[in-house]
Amino acid sequence: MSASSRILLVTPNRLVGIGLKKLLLEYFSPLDVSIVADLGDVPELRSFDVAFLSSDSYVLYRDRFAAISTTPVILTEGAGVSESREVPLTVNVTGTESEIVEQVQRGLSAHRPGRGHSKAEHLSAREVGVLRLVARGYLNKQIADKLSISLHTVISHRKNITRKLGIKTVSGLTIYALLNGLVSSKDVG
Amino acid sequence: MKLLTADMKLAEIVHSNYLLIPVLNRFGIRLGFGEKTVRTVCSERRINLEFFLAIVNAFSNEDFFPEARLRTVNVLTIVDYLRTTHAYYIHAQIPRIERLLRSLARSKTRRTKGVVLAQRFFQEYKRELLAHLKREEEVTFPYVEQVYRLHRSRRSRGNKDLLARYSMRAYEEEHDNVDEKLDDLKNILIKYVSSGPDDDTLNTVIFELFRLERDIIDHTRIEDTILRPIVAEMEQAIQRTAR
Repeated sequence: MSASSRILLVTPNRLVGIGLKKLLLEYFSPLDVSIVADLGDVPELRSFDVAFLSSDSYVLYRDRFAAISTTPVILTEGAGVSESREVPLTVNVTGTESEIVEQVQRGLSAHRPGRGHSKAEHLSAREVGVLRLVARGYLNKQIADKLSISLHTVISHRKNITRKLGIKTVSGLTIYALLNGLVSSKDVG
Repeated sequence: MKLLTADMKLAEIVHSNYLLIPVLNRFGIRLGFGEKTVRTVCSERRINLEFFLAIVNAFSNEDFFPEARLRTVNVLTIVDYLRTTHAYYIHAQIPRIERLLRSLARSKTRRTKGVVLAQRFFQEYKRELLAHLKREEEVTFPYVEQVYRLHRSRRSRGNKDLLARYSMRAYEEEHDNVDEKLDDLKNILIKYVSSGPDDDTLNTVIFELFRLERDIIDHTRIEDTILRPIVAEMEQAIQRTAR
């Protein structure tokens, strides 16, 4: 699992902050959300992936976004108020919940495009090799010897296999290998 | 999730989360309670109201866990509840999943191989789970009951023997995680067993596995965050008087 995105909400309106935080967590977890009243209180803006802020604070602190990868998303009151070409991402706080959710989603995915519909994570040839041996009952140390790689490398392959397949136990991995023809049932015993 | 309270009707509680029906059964409450409120039914059936509310709320809401309130509950009540939960797994949930897997395996579709493997995997999981439950029934729960009686009687003789044979610390160490296999089985059925004409049976197996997993998580949470600390406190008190 990758670390969750860090989100900054800049608003002096506590209720807006709480509401937006709840909405973010409900629809887009896992996220790490912080709320501040003023961007002046945030020394490390670059540590956030996305910052939601009013157009006033954006105008005031625009320069701080210049050299960093943090994506600004402007909170507007009413549609099309802040349609500047420079910052196309806005969330209209007077919109319906569905509209807000969709606009927030656009803001979040602008930071990491392609997230969510990324390419399928296939096992590498080496991982398949390790998996075959796991299914046939070999221990990590034996796999390392057989493939002439370090124990550390075997463990890291196994972690990646588990992450990609979502299967943790040896019995589960064995069934995966059988179902996908990586081993035959007589290999498994 | 809405907080469930004493003056709500039981029917309302079921409407808020129908998965609570078997939880009500564990308290001896059967459907057909009409317009009765939680308070009424609990007093009729001599169910500890606070305990009941804590359990149903914690079951419905993962983030809600009234530890402080639950720790005031008599430990025998908690053990009783845990026992009935075991019985539900052993006599209802596990056999149901086995039946469903059997009927899937009989259906002779292209996915049969996957189903047969899943069936075998479920048997492995079942053996582990049953061993785990048996250990609790035969060792942990009787131990808890003895500690409770000793603690109440405030006698000091012979206590050290009991504590020397077993302890909450030993329980903590042996209380291993049995849900990794369950999670794997779900993943295999979802991702790698292809759907055939009898989708519905496969879907039902998956629903049941999710339900069992959730129930077991709730069960483990009660054991680890409520039962263990309460009994560990009694152990300490007994040791102080035994000195």
